[in-house]
Amino acid sequence: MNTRRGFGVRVGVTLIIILVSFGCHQNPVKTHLQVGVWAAQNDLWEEAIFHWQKVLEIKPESAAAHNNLGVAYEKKGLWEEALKEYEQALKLAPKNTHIESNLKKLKEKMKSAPQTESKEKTSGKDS
Amino acid sequence: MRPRFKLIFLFIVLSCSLSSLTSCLSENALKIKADFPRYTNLKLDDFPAVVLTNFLVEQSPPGFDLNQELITYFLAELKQKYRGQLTQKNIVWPEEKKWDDPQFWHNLLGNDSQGLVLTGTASFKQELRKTLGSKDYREIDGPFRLGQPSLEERTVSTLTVRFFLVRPEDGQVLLKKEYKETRTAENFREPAGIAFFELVQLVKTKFFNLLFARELPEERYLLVRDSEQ
Repeated sequence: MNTRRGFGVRVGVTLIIILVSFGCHQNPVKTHLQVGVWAAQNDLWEEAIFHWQKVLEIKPESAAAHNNLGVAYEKKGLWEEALKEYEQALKLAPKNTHIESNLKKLKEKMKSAPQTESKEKTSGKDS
Repeated sequence: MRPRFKLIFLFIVLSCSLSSLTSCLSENALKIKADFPRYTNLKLDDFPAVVLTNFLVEQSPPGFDLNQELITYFLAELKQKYRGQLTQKNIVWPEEKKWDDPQFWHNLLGNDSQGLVLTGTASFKQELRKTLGSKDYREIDGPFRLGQPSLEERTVSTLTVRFFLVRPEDGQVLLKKEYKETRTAENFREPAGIAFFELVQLVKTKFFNLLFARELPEERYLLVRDSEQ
């Protein structure tokens, strides 16, 4: 009786381990995405770009990688490239509010940026 | 099914559900706060050398050398911020100015300029303006106009600087920007120098934000995974 019980428990534990390890299994896309995010959080933007580009090599239709690359390019001051990446990301995930927010912020910034010719007027205060 | 097998089966199902639930519930996006370039992607530090020329003065108060003051001020300020080689050169402005013509700039700045040329025009004027005063004047020797505001004089100073950042080899204007700053002073005898240094600092702050791409903290979303993953 005890032997049968022990066998049942062992089978159960083995099954749990197999299923949990399947659940925790990271595909390379996910790994590169997450390592890139970690790098960006630690201000290692070149490293982050490398990982997100790797994601696009494996999975060109990754909206997350396009969006994150957009953030990285924006950080580097490459606004045109960032705009392209955000637009591509939004094309792949049209209802993603986070991508929409990033794109909106970039467009506002680009709108307020000085063009080749512009004029600023302000008034100084009374002394 | 026996009760103990039922228990094991239930345990397995619960574990699997918990494992998949945690991965499903983990946040899809992460909000990060970082310093992003705010104004432009034109960074003066990307260019190895800059030549600051004299300014074309359109208007200036008598006895105040606007051109020299601007050169001295911007040379000193640029030296502090700019990492490349900074030199100064005087140019002779022609009668006819074609600001949008690359050939005009090429002819004006020539091929001997080492690096980008920062030049421009400037105008500085001071005028007296009458305004209703805010002080409560009291006449002590008569019954009239008690407590009424009177006209007061103010000095209004206006500094206008138009900058051009030009690549002399082909006369291409990389950046054209005009700033107009005004200051009103209660002191109607305010010296031109004091007003100028107050105003030129405002111009410098804005212009340098542009040239050196000041960064400000902003929030963006990074996506941790694609929605279908």
